[in-house]
Amino acid sequence: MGPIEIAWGMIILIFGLIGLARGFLKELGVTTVLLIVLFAFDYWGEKITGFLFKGVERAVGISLIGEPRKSIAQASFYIITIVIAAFISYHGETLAFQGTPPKRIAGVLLALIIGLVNGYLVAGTIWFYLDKFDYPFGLVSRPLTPLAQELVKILPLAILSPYLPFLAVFMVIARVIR
Amino acid sequence: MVSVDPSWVILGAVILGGLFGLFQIPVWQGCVMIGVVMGRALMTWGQSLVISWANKLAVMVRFALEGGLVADDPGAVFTEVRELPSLVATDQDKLHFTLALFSFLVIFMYLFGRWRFRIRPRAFGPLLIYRVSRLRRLMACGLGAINGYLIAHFLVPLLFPQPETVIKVPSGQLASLLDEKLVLVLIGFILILIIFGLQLSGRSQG
Repeated sequence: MGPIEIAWGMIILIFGLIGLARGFLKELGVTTVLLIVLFAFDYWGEKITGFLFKGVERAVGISLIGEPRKSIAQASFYIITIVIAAFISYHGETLAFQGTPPKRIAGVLLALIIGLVNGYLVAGTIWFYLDKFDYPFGLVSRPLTPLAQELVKILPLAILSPYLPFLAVFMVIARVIR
Repeated sequence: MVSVDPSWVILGAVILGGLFGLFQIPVWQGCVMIGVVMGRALMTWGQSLVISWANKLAVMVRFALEGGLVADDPGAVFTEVRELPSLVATDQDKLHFTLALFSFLVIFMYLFGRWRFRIRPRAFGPLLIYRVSRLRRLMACGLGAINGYLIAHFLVPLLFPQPETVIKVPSGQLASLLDEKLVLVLIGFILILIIFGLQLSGRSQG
């Protein structure tokens, strides 16, 4: 149990450092995947989880419709999916943008910034779904601090939702043009 | 009394910034942006600290100007100087100081950028313009527009604190409009950064 904003900030910083080590073009590949996943969550998340839970009920006989099971299952689905998406996109070379990354200070800064953006997307999405489903795993100190309450308002899906289709398409076009 | 729609004020700032950027290169506009962010951060989180240091510095300068450094009794001169009113004391002083420091940082960073990243100009009628590609010109224009927005975002609450001024601008409405659009500005900045990075990156072989 601890202030969630500290964990959030630490994760973003770690992603920034990973970005520094991996380079700008590889980080952009991760950004593309994350934006597409967020777009899918935003537009089809409810449908996918509904379909999945019915399948689980039929296959195993466990109902995930009632609370608190539903919240736990939904939060688990979104968090596990974003973590897997991040892991896959960080693991392989295939999604990286082609070419040689920018050199010197510009390359370092760009890699750091895009790494931080990726950290914000991953950690922010996890926090967003924890908050949406009322922190079902009990790992977070409650009530949230005033800072955390303000930060919740600027999490990726809280602010990027209307722009996600455009951002995802922009990144895919940039990837194809490269 | 002239009534001005808030969205026109924002649009004006964005267009002015964009036009300015159009005749520049992206890295200069990037430097201006660093100045704007630094000024904003300093004035948001370190205003009291900066003002107290400015007041201390003013006391030191006055002490030197009053001849304290060569006086027989520097303590007496120092006491005399300490009793004078502070350089930045009233709210009006603070406003002027904030505006001056913010302007200094923005102009300094712009000049620093021009000095550090020099580029050969060429004649364009009576003007001197810079030979850059269309894409880079567009990026500079976009960054200039973002700078215009950010500067308006910082200055509006300072310059229009009352609900109405002589030029009637509903400042509360304007401030909330500026806040709403900040997300778009940030997204725009990241996208320009990505295009810039891709342009700096070498093409793949084959």
